[in-house]
Amino acid sequence: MALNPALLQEIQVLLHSCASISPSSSAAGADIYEAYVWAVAIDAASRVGASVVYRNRQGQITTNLFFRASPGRIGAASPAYTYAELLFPDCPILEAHIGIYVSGKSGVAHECDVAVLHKEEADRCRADQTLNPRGSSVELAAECKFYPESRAGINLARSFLGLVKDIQPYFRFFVCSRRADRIKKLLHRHHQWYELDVVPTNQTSQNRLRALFENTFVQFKARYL
Amino acid sequence: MLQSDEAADTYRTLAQTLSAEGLDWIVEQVSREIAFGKLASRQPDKEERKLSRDLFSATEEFTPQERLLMLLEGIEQAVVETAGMQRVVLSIVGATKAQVLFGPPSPEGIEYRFGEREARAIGENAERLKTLLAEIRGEILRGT
Repeated sequence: MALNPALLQEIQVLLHSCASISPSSSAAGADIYEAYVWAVAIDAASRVGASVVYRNRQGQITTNLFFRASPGRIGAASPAYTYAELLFPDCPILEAHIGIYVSGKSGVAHECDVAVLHKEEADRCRADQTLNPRGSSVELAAECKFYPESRAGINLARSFLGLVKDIQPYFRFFVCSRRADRIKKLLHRHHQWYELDVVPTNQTSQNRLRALFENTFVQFKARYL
Repeated sequence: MLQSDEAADTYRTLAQTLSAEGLDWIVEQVSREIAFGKLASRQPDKEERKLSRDLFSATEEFTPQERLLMLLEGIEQAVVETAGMQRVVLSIVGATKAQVLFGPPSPEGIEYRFGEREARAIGENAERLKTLLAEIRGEILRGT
């Protein structure tokens, strides 16, 4: 049976209406994906008792959220990127950032797509802009992959394995918008935390990721009982 | 069931539409995957096993129906899901936030932005688009 031409025509009309706000490059898609995973992490923190405040580089509360389109230093003076301050009662203050460099044990800087780290360490690096936060100060990190080519996906998972080895293995997550059996096999074999097919229309995966993040924050809070 | 020539025509029509709407990166990405081919493996035969019992890795061409499925997935990821992601971000940070912006380290301007108004406007259309893409997928999968 041939496709109904009206079906294709309606798709064309809908694509036209959606195009203006859809990402115009894969890089823009990746930026939105990082913001989405960051927001899921903030939701998880709220659900386990955090108050959330959005601030810019100067510590001012912001109305607009401004994120990096490419990775950078947490202390970069300009422009004023946004981060979320997470306040759990009786715990050190945390900050959730997008696209910052973090120092590995080797001293090499790695990009963290989403990083939740101690405010104390972030303040230190804002005071001395040459510094990147140390991996040990990062309570949660997520490597976010939006619609990667299936060929490239496995290489991304391999670099994630290298990253966790240099930054500390706990509470580091590989998050991908596609189902990818080969990535799953590789990360499972190496006992990594991952969640694949994480997209808004897959509530199961999105909720599973949020639960992983919630558990991370619960464990963080438990250290300060 | 969608025949091969119909699948190829539909692929062409959608690819042209995406390019016309400035979303040609989706087509390019799908084309790269198609060019690489489908990963497969083959058992060595008796003669070949003398040297090694390891499997041969191989690639096969995607069928027109599989190519169309890949393009539908690309549209879903890049258009439907990103619209959903925008709504999730805005609902979690709160509707009082005027805009979500992405920019480079150097102050050369904003690369991309979205806000409550845009996300609301695109929301229903993205939902409808998802339904229609699922209809095409259903037509393809009925034949497999």
